[in-house]
Amino acid sequence: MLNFIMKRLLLTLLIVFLVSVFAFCLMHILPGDPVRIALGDGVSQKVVDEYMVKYNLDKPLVTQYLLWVEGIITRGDFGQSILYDEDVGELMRDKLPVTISLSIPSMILSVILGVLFGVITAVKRGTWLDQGISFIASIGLGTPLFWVAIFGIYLFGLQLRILPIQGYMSPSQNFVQFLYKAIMPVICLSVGFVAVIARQTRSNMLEVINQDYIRTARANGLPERSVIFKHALKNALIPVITIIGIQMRIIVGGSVIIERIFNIPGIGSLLMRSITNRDYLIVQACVFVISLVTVGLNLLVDISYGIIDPRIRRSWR
Amino acid sequence: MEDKDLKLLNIENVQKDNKKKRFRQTVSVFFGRGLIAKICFSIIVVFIVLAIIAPLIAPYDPNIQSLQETKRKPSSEHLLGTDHLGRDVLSRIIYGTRVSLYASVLAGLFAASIGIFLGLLAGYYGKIASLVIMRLTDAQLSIPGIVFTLVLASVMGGGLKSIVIAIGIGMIPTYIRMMNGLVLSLKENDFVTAARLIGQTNSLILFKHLLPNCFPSLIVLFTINLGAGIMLEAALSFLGVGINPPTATWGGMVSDGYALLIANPLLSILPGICIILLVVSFNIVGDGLRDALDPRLRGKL
Amino acid sequence: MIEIEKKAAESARLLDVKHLRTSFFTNDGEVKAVDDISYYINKQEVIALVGESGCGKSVSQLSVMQLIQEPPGKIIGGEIILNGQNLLEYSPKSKEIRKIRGAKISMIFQEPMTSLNPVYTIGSQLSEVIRVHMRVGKKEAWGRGIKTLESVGISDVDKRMKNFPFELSGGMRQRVMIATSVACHSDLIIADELTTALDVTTQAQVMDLLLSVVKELGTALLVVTHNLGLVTRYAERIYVMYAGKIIESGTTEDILTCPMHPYTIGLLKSIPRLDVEQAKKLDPIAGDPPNLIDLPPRCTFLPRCQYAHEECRLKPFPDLRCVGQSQHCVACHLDLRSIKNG
Repeated sequence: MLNFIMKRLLLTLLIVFLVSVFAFCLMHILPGDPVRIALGDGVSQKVVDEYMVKYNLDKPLVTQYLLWVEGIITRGDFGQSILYDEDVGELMRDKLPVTISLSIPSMILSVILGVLFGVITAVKRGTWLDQGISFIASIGLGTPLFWVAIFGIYLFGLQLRILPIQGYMSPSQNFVQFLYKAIMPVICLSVGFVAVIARQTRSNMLEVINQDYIRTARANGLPERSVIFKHALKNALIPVITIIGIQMRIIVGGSVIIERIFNIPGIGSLLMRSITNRDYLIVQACVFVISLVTVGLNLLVDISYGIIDPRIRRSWR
Repeated sequence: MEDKDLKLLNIENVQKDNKKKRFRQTVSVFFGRGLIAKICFSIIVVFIVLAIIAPLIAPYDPNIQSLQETKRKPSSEHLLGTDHLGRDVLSRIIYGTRVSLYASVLAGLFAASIGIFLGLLAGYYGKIASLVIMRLTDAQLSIPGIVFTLVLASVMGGGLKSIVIAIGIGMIPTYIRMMNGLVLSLKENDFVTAARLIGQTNSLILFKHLLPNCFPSLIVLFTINLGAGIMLEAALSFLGVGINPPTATWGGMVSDGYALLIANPLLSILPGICIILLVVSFNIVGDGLRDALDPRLRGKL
Repeated sequence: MIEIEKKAAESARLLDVKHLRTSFFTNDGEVKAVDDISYYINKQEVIALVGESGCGKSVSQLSVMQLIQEPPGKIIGGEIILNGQNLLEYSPKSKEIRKIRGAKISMIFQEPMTSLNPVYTIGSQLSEVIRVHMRVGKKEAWGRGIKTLESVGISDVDKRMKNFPFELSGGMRQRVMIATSVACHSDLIIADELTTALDVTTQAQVMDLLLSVVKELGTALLVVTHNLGLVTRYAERIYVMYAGKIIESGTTEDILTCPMHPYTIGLLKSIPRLDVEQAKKLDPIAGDPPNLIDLPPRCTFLPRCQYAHEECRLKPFPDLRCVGQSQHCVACHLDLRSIKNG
């Protein structure tokens, strides 16, 4: 078991390293001089030079990279933003919990609804219920997130006036308000994910239901709900879990759009703001942190894979 | 000697006939699947035609502003109304088709050519090639698609070229993963061993034997990626990183219409519906192709 | 007198299948997998249902268990009488059928490698069945499970109960399946091609185990197989199936000594035998099994029959014609009693 986790961790570290290099290089493949872009044209060479030294921009690339990484690891210091002179690390610490407080509920909701719909459509295969839900899932896969959000705002916010169209409240400050403001963003975030999970669950359930051991379970006279929810589902969920891990990026990525539309102060909107302002140090940090979150969640999913499938557990030993 | 040549000719003819037969069979299975597949295919064709003949069909120039006619509701003059700068919405939607299709097709071709090549290398040569390519793919996939494309496109300066390259690079991992998986499973087959035994070079094996066997899956992937490309382009345009302002794009229109949501919701909703129609059609056509091209699923009870 | 005897004999039957018909409705047409077959099995009897792949023998047993997949399959006619009750009156999903499956009638399948759920332990699967049918608690069920596994000859039972299926060999898994039937004191065990997927030594072991279990518990046993040679050792009566119909039936002795249907004759001839000179070639039955869609209304064996007559081409499918009191029946227009065993 430990062997497997060690291997996975090493792999994860490698990926994190590659991502950090990519994030770092972003700032340096810009056309033009990033400092001049940040400071504007009318600034004197002396000021530019001062900034270059202050932010280590005069040193060779590899050194800059190592300094950046060292800062993150030892002090949690992502550097200072050139434009706003803000501590990037602090910005991260403020905004990340916001994004996570919406992503996690969305993930949980998506998995529950997705698996439920998947099982229903598999068991009731061919009926109008299956065709209806599958059709809606197909549409869900092809609907852009920003449109869902805007449509939701129009329908529930402006027309029906039952949900707020903007804003965010931290759950620790006012939990009820938090829920109230979070309903629409979380549901919008879940739309695509539910469709993906439902489809995958359906397809796996259909395969599993045709397996010999399900026939045996029925031949032994077990009640149908036990056959489906105990014997079939556990087997069907195994590949679904892998998909969940891989598609985690949908939710994390969707946050960028959702936060922009609903005006939520999370990492996503920070990223957008920084891109518009060409504050690439923040962009760099955001990209890195967002990937860390995705990779971390993926790792958790991989480990839970082993908990469910005993065959994998044995191979860990 | 003569008999042998005749026999060879016969085989070639038979192979050609087989290919034609298979093509016809694929088409008939695909369209035989049901009304939905046919409808979606027609939708795609309609949009493609719209894109091509846009200048002939659109009632107005999509970029002409008219400060007197701003924010009009649908009328006989402007079938879908006008936006905040007085531009005709219908014309903008028609021209938006061009951008969406153009960007996603180009990005798709770009991604396919690089992704297929890298996937072939990783799957066939294994070891170091596989390690490097697959780890880089994993790393790229740990960055959410939108974030990756967004950052890359904006760093490159925005505009059509940046979007196409950014979306393209974003889709490369899907091709790499698919090709890698396919090649890994195919290369253990006997026909590959046989080809090696008669001395065929690696590149010949790759391109003449392995690659054609992957075509069905690749065609399906390409189709579905077309849909994904359209969604990405729309998202980028919505966020303002996409094509430059005057050009009509669906994503941009949704963004512009947001401010006027109460006054004229159509401005935001209609372009979104076009996106949904086109992307869902590509997905369903892709699924239909997968069923039609996969011989295991044909002739099922 | 004969009528009363007949009625008495009928009521002693455990399972009485009458004119069972099951078809699969596909895009290409209706596949008549089981086309009007009738058979019975008495309490504590061992009988065999023999036929080649695709003749409908497995489908007939799945029909009895009502395990046929509703689209595309469907049981379209007949009666399945168990202890006086027609099972086809109940829907496959009903409580009554559920109570019978695994408890009154148990079925053991061919592929031991895939017949057990890979993500649950042997113990949990076994005790679950016991709990459902015997209505006992978890602990009690686990204990009974252990006892049953012991009775089928599995050693180190405590460890085995906690193992997963992939940790057991094929033979052991088959024993577990037998244990499941035994645990619920079934009246009838249907063994569907039980040993086809096992090697010869394990085959013999598993069959011996099954037979001893059946004898000890007084359970009836119906063995479905394509291997006529195997069943002659232990079956009391044999039914031979071809293309969805029963074409010959009788006691094992009758069928072995005086087979009346050309197909049965062919089957017996094609069994490799140790007591015959080695130089002789095996005598297979010529031709292929027929396509079960759009069967012609005449005798289905005709294309492969070496005794075919003009009347066989013209007449409809022959009815089962029974000879003598031993109930040796055959579906053939000709009388081949004169032809001795090859």
